[in-house]
Amino acid sequence: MVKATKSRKNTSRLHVPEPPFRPGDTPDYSHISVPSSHSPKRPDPLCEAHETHDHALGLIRVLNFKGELVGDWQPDLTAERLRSGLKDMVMTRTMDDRMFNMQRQGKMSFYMKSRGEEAVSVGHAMALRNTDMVFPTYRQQGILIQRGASMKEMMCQCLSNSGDPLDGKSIPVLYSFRKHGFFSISGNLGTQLIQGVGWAMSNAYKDSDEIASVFTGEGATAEGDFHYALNFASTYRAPCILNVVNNQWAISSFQGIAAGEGETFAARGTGYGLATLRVDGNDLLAVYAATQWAEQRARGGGGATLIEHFTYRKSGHSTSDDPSKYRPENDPEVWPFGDPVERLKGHLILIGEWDEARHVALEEECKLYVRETYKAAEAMGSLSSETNVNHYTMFEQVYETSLPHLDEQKRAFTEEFES
Amino acid sequence: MGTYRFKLPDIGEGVVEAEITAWYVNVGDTVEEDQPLADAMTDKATIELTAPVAGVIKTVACEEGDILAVGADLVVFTTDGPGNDDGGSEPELAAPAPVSALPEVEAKNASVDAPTATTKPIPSAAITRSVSGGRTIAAPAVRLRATQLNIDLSVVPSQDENGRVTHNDLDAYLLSGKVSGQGTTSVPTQAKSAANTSTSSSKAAELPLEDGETRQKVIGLRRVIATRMSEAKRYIPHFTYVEEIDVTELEAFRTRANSLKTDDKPKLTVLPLIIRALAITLEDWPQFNARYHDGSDGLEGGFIRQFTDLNLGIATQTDTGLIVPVLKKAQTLSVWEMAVEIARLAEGARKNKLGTDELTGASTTLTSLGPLGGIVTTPVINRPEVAIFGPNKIRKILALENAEIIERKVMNFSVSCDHRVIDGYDAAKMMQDLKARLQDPKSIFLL
Amino acid sequence: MSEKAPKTQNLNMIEAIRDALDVKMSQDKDVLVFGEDVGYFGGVFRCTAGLQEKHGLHRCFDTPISEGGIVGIAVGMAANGLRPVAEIQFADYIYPAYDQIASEAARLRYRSNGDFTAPLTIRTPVGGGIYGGTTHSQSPEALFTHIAGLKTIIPSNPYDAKGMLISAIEDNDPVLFLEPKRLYNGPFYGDPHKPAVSWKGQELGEVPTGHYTVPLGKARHMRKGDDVTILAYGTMVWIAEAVAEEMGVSADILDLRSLLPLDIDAIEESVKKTGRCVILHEATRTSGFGAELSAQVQERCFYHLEAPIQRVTGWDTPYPHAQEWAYFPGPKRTALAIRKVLEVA
Repeated sequence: MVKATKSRKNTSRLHVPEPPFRPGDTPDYSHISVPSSHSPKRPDPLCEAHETHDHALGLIRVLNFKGELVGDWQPDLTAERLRSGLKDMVMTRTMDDRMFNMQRQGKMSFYMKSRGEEAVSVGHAMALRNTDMVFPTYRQQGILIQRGASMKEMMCQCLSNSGDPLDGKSIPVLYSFRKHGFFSISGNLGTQLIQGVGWAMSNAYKDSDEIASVFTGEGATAEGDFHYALNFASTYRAPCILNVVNNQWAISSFQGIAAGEGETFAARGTGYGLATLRVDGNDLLAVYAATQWAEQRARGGGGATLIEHFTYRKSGHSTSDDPSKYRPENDPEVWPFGDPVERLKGHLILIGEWDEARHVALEEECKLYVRETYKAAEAMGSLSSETNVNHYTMFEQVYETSLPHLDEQKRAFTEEFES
Repeated sequence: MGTYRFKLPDIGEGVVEAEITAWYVNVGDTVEEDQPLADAMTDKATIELTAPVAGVIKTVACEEGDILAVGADLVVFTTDGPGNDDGGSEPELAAPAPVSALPEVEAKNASVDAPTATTKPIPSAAITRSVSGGRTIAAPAVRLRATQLNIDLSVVPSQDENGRVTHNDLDAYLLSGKVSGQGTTSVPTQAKSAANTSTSSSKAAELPLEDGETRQKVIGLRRVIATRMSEAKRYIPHFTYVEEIDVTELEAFRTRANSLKTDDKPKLTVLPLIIRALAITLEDWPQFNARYHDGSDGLEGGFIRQFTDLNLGIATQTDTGLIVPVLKKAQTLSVWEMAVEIARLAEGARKNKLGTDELTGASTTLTSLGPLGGIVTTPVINRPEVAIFGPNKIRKILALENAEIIERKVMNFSVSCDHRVIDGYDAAKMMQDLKARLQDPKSIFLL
Repeated sequence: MSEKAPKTQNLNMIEAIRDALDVKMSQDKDVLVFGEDVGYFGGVFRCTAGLQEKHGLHRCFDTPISEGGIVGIAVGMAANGLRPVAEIQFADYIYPAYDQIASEAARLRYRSNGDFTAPLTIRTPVGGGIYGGTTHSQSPEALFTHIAGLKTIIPSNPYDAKGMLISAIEDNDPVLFLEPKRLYNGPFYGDPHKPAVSWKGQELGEVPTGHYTVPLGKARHMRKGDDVTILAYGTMVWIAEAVAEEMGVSADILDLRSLLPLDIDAIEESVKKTGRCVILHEATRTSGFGAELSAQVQERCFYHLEAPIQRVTGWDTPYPHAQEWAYFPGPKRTALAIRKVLEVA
């Protein structure tokens, strides 16, 4: 008879990844190797997808920390355009700050900032045509700023007031601006990736050379939709760019929860046969360069590229979130890739196209513009006073034309509302 | 100078309260817009609250460590410009009470300034509940029929072992002659059947059928009408007065009106014009627009109710029998409005779609057989009303005018009155007034 | 000018659906058809056979086995001006696409306040009667009629199938088009042991050639009668027909055709006439669409009701395999319910 043994044969253990630092810890990111310069060579945009395998594991950078241009990916951007990009980033940040504060004063229900990630939106948009449809997440407001959307309309959307183009139907920040190539943002994460692929497929079907660019945070790459998108984009060679903005945090979950502790998010594309790039998302020039490469590939018939924008979410997830509850307070400061605004500013100063005084003046200009625009927007209503939104509009745009049961419910609401 | 109340906002998707963990301002401080005021901690986050306006701090809500409800005043400012509470109450009284706070703080801030409800209160008017049979078991369709017949279902015997009342039970009950109405509908309200008007089913069965004879049970609405009519004739000493009225002008007027009317208007019949004339006339003769509660139904009686509104019952023939929908406040309606409303009521009566409200409350009744109207009718009064008006058919006659024979259109107009309360003299005078108005149609539009 | 009577051809439901797709693809370059196995092979039920050959690889193509992906690209295409018609091979497989349907397609117009719309059509076979067991027999219509912004329709015959599918494709809102697979090849009267009946010789199998539409939101009077109203859709329409015939009752049978929008006026008129109402569906009972129908009938016709409303449905179990006909709400269950409402005096 075999005696039962007490020693365990099974050596597997449930593994739950944990971030390296929690509140109270002193974060130290010296283990993250920051490529000092260029990282991988820039291949031809119509190369075979497998030629970009290394790009999924490295990090494309253009600006080093001294503000110098280095490596193979330096884009051809004039100082004028760079200053314009800088202004769009500062404007985005200023607007975010203002809206955040106004939420704290009860003017709107909710807001989401994009601090630290402005280069991803602005740099990306700079490399696209304004008519290329982007399928953004709620942290790409920089694209709207770059494309010249009306800030007042954006603010009115957040305030859900009479100036809201959406008539108060959506929560703040979930913009829809078809006229600026900005798809209606869904609150359900990841769902739009596959829709963007469908959009791109129809561009190709219609013989249009416009492309689509779709976004997700790294957290929602765990959704099935991400895999649908990669799969379909690869199968049908859809002219699109698939962007993963890896800002390290999905609300309170660090990126290792979505990724596991294996390869990078960009490397997710390798198995699907997609071109893959991983880029320093705090470096506007690098974001521009990577986007431009993917854009040329898509327009040139090479199909989709998966780009991981490696960055850091400096603020809370939203006004409802407090990051000090799950990560060290000074984590954003010690993050080794710096701040996108500071880095572009440093570069422009280094090449003699900018100075501190002009930067202060720019910040003041943005602040004033945002303040005045906000005042005009709030005059059209807010949550803390009256939103001035017509209640009856809630029955509109459910269908193209109303249906009898909705008409009946509208009448019932009238009775309730007017009694 | 104004007062600005900064209420603790919902800072995180449905948070109801927050702990104020730090104050950066004191009462009396002058602050700039966006200057930090306090830190608030919820179970989700600790956040900094900034000033929505520039001004002087008049009051602060609580002490550090206190919990404040979302929507309570956090800080009250005195502002240079207008505030958001310029007609407001005393700030001291309006200061919020912390949700849970130290006793001394609580004493200092005694009254709660809860978020003001901006919505109107839920209407609390008395709800009228119509009852047809209370807890009696019956299909909805049976209930509806009982309601229309004014029958209390709870007194209707059921043949079903579970006590469910069916249409058959209702029929049997109607036939049994025990109908005792209550409440109000167009159909009789005092239908208390007398033994001599009821024929029990057993007696009917005893009478042998003759050759060629068929029998129909008197049930339902027919039964109710029968009871009601015999009671009207039994209790009310009727007299009927008939006057001939020349309606040549009235008809000419009506023809003109129809030729000039726009398409959205219905064809004008003579009825609205008659009602119009009646409405004006009865203002001078309110005793005809009345109900006599004579006490015969066992209820309190011995009084007459006169009305200023002419709520005119319009006797309407339907497939199932006579229904009397009510034209409300006829004196306020134009002839076109009347035409529309009469058509609607007639249609509703025929389709059995009228509500109780549309079938009750008549103060007097008009009964017209239209083109079938004959020469003279002697209409039966709809108890407890005291009069009923019956225009008859318009017919052409030859008349003499300035020694010439001309064609005129005339109508005999009947009125039946309750002689207990209306004298013949008054009826005649009233009818002369009505006649004068109908013969000179312009007058009915000049009050 | 003399008007020729429209030419008709006798088609089964598969052919009628294919004909509708062909008509629209010929007429409108924006109409694309895709799904699992729909391209070269022409679909597991053959509804798209020949379309790729006729209209080209770009207009009728195979997709990965990815229902969420299929509907996802359809949303993007529709928003970008195309008229995609996506096939989900069996309604039992539609759940991975539920988020794309409920949260995206149905809501895009609303959340963007009309800035973007999703005029797409999703076709999918539903219902049992083919020994499909738990995973090839479901009728999930109630999961979709609960979604604001979506239309859900279900034809019961070739004529309606073609006209309604064309209406769905032309509709500017997302439409879920459910195909009762037991009716693909002929009407089904509820007895699986009797020889199958084909659409040949059936009036409703006579399908006009070319373009025509059957409006969404209009019920069809299958049979007129005075004693009881039967509300049915899909396969159950034919069960109702067979039972009414056999029982000899004067039944007013409404083939609802469109569940949302619902032709409540036709229902109300019928129930007010008969005072009695039986509701049939193949789907499970609890929270099924019959519950909605029953509620609305009660709200509108309460005082005309002579008897409690009856529901004839599948049992609240998954769709079993060997017990298919014990599960299926066939003629016997239907007849019992009709008797029940008629017996109430």
